[in-house]
Amino acid sequence: MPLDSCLPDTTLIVVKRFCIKMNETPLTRWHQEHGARMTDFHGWLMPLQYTSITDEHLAVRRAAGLFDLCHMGRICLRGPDAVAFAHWMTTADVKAMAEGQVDYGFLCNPQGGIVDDITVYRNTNEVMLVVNGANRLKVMDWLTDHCDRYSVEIEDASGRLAMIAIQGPQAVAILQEETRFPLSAIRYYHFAPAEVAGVPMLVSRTGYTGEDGFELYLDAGACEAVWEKLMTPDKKIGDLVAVGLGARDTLRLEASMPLYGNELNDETTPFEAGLGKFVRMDKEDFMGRSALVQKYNAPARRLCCLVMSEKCIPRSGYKVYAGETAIGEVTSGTFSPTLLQGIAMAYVGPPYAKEGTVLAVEIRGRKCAARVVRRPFYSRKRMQSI
Amino acid sequence: MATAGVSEYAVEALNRDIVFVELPAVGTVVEQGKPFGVIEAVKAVYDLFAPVSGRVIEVNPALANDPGVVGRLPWTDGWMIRIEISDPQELDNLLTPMQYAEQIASEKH
Repeated sequence: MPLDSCLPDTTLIVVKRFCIKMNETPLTRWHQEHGARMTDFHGWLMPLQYTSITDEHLAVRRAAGLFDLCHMGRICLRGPDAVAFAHWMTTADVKAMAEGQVDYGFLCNPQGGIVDDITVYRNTNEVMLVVNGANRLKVMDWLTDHCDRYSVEIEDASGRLAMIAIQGPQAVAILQEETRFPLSAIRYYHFAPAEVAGVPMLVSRTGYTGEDGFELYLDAGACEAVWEKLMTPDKKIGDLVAVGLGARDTLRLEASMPLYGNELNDETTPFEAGLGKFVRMDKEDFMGRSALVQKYNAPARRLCCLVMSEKCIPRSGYKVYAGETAIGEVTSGTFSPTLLQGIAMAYVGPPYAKEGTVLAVEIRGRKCAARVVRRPFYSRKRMQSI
Repeated sequence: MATAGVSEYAVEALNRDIVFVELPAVGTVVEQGKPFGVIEAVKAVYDLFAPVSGRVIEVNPALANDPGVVGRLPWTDGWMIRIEISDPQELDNLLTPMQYAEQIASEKH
């Protein structure tokens, strides 16, 4: 988009209006009615932002934000072998998980590459996998292709089960106003069935922002009413703000959480991504384990966190240099609304990933100084202790 | 002399989330229709195109520390560079404010 479009000879970009039916969530109409700028996210019509990315981002850091996550995939495994199947297919120790526990992990291919990064929910009669929206169909195929030896039913529950998240320092207090269930009893990475705003749902103390908060799984038909109730402005406690995918991305990046497609893909191992602690190597065999054992000690590259030392903003695809030598590439970069600096995650040769290493990111032909920092960029605990 | 910046419409398209502006140094020669700098929102980068050719004679010093002013006051305090116009005939290539408003209106629908 040429910003200064005062020139008649500027190339006229004809926007073709393709008539592809986009997937809509139970909240799409609400977003549109509330002035959201909508975007096509892997075939889903989703809110990019309602007011501004910066405002929504800071609202989550200071108070609380509400996110429509219905584009994520919810896959339910049921039957006598549900646990054994999830145990084999994922890096999580599903057999050792207690009911009501959540674990972060991976679906790996036999080469140890990441098919998807997921959260695993161990429920009473089922195991639920929450997978990336962009990977939902791929994961459904992946699971169905490998379930021969198991007595398991695999359901893509994404349509009937809505997913929203409330995140931020005031998330607990705001949600508590809508339920009698003692939310503080739900520990981090645990979930419980509870009635919130009169609707039964799974309340999970998880998120993708670096803040305290919950992800909620509820009947799709009740989703809009619950959302409306939470967004009602005459609350006694706190200010809840609707947050779009733009701020969701900057929040997760400040928390140095990976995004599939940027930091992770079918060729990347969890060890390269610095996420080895989520691979339960001590559990019995699982898909990809033998390849991962070999790659455990010698990842070819490592994901590192970079903070720009000067005023410039690194972006995905920019080259990373040590002196004059190109040693890696930025996978995600942004201006950090909390730190007010350019930040990035980048894959570099292992020797360069050490904290304190001075590197450079090439931005429009100029090498801008950057420093490797400890992950995450932002931690609510670290911020509280300052 | 010409003063260059971005329009209200442009900053609205970036949702006024402007966090960085990269401008040429005084003395740089810019060319009509060619990029002279960059404007960045939190999640987007766009080129800035020179409305006329000429030498940059002044750069708005306020933008280095407060690029957000471009989003708040693009027509006034958010100006970017002043250009010594090398060829006044180039001005004929520009849209009038009325034509620009019409173009925006047609792009919106």
